[in-house]
Amino acid sequence: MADPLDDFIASAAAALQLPLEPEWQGAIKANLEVTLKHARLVAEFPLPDEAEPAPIYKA
Amino acid sequence: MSRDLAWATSAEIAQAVASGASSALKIVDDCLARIEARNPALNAFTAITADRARAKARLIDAAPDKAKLPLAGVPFAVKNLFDIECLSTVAGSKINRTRPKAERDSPLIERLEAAGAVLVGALNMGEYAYDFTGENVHDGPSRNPHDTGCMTGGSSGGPGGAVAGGMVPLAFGSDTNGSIRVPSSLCGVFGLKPTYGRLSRARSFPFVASLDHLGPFARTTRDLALSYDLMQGFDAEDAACAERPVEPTMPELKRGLDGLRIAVAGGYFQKGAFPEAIEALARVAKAAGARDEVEIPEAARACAAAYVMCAQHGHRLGGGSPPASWS
Repeated sequence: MADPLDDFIASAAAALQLPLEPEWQGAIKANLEVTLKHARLVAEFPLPDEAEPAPIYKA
Repeated sequence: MSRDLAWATSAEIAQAVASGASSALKIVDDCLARIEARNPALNAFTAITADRARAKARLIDAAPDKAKLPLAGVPFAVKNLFDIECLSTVAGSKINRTRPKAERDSPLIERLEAAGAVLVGALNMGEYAYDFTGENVHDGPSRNPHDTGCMTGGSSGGPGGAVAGGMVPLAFGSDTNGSIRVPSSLCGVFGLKPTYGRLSRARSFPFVASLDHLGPFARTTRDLALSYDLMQGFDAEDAACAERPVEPTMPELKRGLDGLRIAVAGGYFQKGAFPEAIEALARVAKAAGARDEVEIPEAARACAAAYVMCAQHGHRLGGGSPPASWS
């Protein structure tokens, strides 16, 4: 079975009409894997469904 | 014969020019000569604006009010993501080299020059500021003046190297995820990442708008405060710039540590630190009178969030837009 990340990269690049050099595939995948690892850590933090981003901070 | 001002602070240079002990042109000529001599080893500068700098220095020497200019004749340089009139703002990248030349300086350059400072060039940086090393793949690595076999740290590698290498007393960089703090630490100089929204980022090339800060590098904290005070002030051209009155920091310096509460960040921030780093931390903490250790909740997750935000914003750095078929 093909790795779903490889499929994702190929599909996303096609949707964006972004040409990818085959020799960069490994580096792109490695970067995506690290980003997903960090994103999982963030997403695991429990938040209520109603939570919204706070774009303006004032002291 | 006038004193050698190669390692002088900004305040000392401005005083020498204001009093007539040195001309601004002499200061700038000496600075340009040092850059020429040291840059081959340090690779801090990617552009040197010699003609512009000499013209500006002559104007200051002829100015009747030069004694009132707080940075009279002080040479400075900026990371090459600040707009400099008549140069393309490359932000360390290859793609941006074909951008049109900037029509106007960044507001921070304008404010510094209004105070008598003299821009002498643009500084090396990690590509698009997405970097911790200061090692640029197109312009070559900026090198640490303490040991040219070592990195400056990044992404503001050029500002760290230029100030630590005695080329300029003041330089300016940006910090999104450590890009002022890392090179100023590794190069042994002082850097300031101001509170978000205090300094205008208009006419600079962004990385992550919600995390980007511009700030100074200097060899003394007094020079950081001096330049920071002159750059403060609301600017509607930066949507995130805070509408707050200028809060001068220079008068606060004489208070020293009075009233400050300093603690050491533990947990996540000390994980994986080498014994040398722990020892250095202990010495600084002792000097600052920091006795307590604090745990900042969810620091690891916050760092992970910053990583993801950088990756998410970074995808559009080349200035690309979605395919036409999307619209």
